[in-house]
Amino acid sequence: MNVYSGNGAVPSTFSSGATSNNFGVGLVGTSKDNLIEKNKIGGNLNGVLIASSTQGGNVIRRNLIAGNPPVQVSNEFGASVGADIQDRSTPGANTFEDNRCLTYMGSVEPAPCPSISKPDDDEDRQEREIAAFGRSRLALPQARLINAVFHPSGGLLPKAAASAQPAQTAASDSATVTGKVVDAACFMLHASAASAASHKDCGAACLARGVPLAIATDDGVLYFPSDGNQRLKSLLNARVRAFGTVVEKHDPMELKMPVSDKNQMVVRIEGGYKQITIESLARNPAEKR
Amino acid sequence: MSQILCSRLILSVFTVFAFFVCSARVQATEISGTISTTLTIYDDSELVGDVKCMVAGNPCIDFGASGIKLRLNGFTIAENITGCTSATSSQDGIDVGDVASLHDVAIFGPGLVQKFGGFGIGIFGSTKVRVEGVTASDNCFSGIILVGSMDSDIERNVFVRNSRGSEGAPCGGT
Repeated sequence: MNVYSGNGAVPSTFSSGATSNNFGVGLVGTSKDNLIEKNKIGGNLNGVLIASSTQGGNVIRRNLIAGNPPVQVSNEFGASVGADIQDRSTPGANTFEDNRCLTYMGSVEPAPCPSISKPDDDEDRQEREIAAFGRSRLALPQARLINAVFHPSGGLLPKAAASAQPAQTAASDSATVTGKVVDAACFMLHASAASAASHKDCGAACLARGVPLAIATDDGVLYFPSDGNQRLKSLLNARVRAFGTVVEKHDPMELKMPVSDKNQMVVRIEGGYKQITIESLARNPAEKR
Repeated sequence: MSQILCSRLILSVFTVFAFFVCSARVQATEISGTISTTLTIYDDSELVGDVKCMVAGNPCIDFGASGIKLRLNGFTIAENITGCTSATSSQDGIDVGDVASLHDVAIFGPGLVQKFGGFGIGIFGSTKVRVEGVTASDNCFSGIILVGSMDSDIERNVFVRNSRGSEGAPCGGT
């Protein structure tokens, strides 16, 4: 989310032939296929401006766009000089979804504004449930799970999140960890499903696409191997006993889980997780019987 | 014997060279104070104090290489321009790719980029540029502009009172 406020100046010699082309967010030139999502845009000359030259495919959704331009600007200017959404593109070329906005200048029918309320949609509910569930699965009390949303593959993902912060690591301890090898992303959302034998094929598919594996202890704590999936991949869904050095990592981590061929779900962990450098690993004897 | 010595010399030279290369990659360039000619960065860099820019007709800080990061560390980069005209339009705060296309570069806040005669941050013809946590305010043209760039992430930034005087050009926050 970005915040845009008070951007843009009113043209001093505005006439019917002049244009008020300043904005909070602007799609100009030959912009296409952009996603403008979940921003707060207020007090700009125009909130969102889409120029006639844009090539379409832009999606403007779930933004709060209001107070563009400020009422004092409109009063002093004495004419309509801007709008929450100023749309000069071809109707239908771009998509407006679930924005909260009041004023619209453009040709789309029905106009996307005013739109001041909407029912609680599935994505909102899903995000809340995922966040609540994920919090209960994290090892550290200060940890929190955020941004568990569906993204189109190749879209605007926070890819660099893990490298955005300097890595921080707490002191390490040797420990023996006993638990089940699970697809970590799925486990954090649906622990019982991820641990079920019937999930093995699904987990294997996720593993093939790079979703990280972890050892889930009986009390729900996840231990991520420091060397990736290499040592655990042959033990998916098996109970194992691992001995090694355990550290609490405090830098953010993202887990990506494929959802069909065209989408993936990103689960971002902030606040910490446990990582184990495995020195010895064995299938739990109880599992062999 | 001489062949062995030669090999040792080459090995020594290589070792010293590798040491310096590695050192340069690890040590971030520290930036603060007044900049009077464009500062081009080629490695990870960070602000260690406020920066005052006095570069006429050119950007203040320019990315010169792909795969590097600039951390603002809560400091301010400012030009304190008094009048916005087309003559000041090249005086950007931070530019990416204005000389050659770049990829995988990042600018991390918190930090303030303000009162430039051009754009706060200009991203031109580049790929996978990330700008996160930056506040851009009171710039004559846009806070951030992306021209001919792809797959960029502009996340958790604040844009306030930009496009103070864009001479009729379509400008604003982003």
